[in-house]
Amino acid sequence: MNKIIIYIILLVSYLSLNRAIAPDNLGLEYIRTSQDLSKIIKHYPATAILERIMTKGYIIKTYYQKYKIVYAHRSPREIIVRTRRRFAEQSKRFVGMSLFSIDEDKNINTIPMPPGIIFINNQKFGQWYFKSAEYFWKFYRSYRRLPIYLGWGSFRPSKEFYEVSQESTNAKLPYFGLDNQFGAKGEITLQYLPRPQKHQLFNSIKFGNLFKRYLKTNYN
Amino acid sequence: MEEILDRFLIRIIFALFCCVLLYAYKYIHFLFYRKSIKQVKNEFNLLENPSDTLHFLSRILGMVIIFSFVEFNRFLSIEVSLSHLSLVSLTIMVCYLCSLIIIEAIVLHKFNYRTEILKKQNFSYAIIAFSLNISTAFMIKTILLHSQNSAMIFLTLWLFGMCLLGLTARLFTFYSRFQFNRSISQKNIGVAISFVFYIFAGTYLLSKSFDQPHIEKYQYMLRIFFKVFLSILIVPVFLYAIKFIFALRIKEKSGNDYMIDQEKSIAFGLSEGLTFLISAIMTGWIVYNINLTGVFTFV
Repeated sequence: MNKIIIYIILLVSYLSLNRAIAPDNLGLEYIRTSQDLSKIIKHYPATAILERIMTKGYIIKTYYQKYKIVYAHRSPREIIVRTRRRFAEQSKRFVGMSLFSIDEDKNINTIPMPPGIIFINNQKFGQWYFKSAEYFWKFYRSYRRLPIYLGWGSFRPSKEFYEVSQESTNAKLPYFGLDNQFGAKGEITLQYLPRPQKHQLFNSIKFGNLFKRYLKTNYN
Repeated sequence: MEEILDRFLIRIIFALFCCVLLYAYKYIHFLFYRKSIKQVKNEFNLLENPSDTLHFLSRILGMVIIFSFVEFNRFLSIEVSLSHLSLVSLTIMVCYLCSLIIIEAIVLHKFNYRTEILKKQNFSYAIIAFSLNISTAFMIKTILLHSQNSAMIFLTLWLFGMCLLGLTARLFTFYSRFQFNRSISQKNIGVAISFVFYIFAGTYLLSKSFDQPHIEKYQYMLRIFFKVFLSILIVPVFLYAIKFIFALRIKEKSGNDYMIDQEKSIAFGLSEGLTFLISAIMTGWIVYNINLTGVFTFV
């Protein structure tokens, strides 16, 4: 009985020590919700665009998320964080969208929005211009690379697009764009973040295929 | 022909130089172990005391095991090679003898060489000392292999390795049913056999734990620590599994008498030691040969 207790104590110590100080687990932050990204993003205004959700593990899965942090005054950077399963599952349909934004006054918005909403309608970054009976947003020359960082491609937000986004923010509802251009199934997201293709090698790693190949190589 | 003769002569020179180093080792050993005066004065009789013979020769064997690590390169001149060899060898000798003092102080602190070997001719003590000499040699060899020719890394890893080896040796009392100190003083061979297999198995696992990517020394030591910790957790699984699967039971009605009886204690020591060695090899396979790094799967 004593030995079992000692074994359990050792097991618990191993797991906790491994989690706390093992070199393999260091370097990756853990977030429970997108609100926790505020611990990682120290400069503002900035927005965190969810790029990928990944898992690792055979029996017990660990969930990871890859974000692109786009700052107004610095180069963008990509980070990978660990997260909990529930949050990863919930955010599946928000791939390609901004899950966290922080403005110059440190106001945080964690409602899923199209990337870069935080920079629109801010006179410091750009202005509205009139074209084809509609107003569109255009960044100033010094911020001309922001649409590339935000993955907009040729898309330019209209005033209507912005106003509907503000209504969604007030109603605390996610917003995927006027024609659902953003999000996991959005046209612009798929252009900017094509779905990862399964490598052909993975298709060939099936027991039947391997066995056939083995027979062919060794007994033909 | 000239080239062949040249190579042969160089090898002979190196062989003679190694003999000189062994001669130096004899005196350095005396500096560390003043009680071994007989070995220096050439009064040592091989047949007089088998315990002393085993104790003495195992130390030479340990030294030679570490020597086998040192490499010669042809592109260096013979003088440079010889001076490099002598510097490395002298460092190794001092380090090995210091390690033996540390490890014997940890494991055999209740005994001393003069009483056990010279007076009592305790063969059990000699076998345990033999196993410690060989294990320490293998540990130092492993540490030298991973120290990347840096004295600081070697020193750090040496201290760390000695702590781990000492801890492993001390844990024998936790694992074995033998009462370690009492059994040695009773000249029980069973406990010695059990300890030999145990410490060899422990050294095998420790040596394997050093075999990891070495980028930053503190992270490297942490990785070693976690591998050793993991091994400690997995070994008992195999120990109990082997005992359960092969029904290794003691069918003895007279209590713990089998530990006192010389023949039965040898059988028990063998079973205890070998079970541990088998478990350690299986653990080594599970901990070090199965790569679970894994890859990211996109959701």
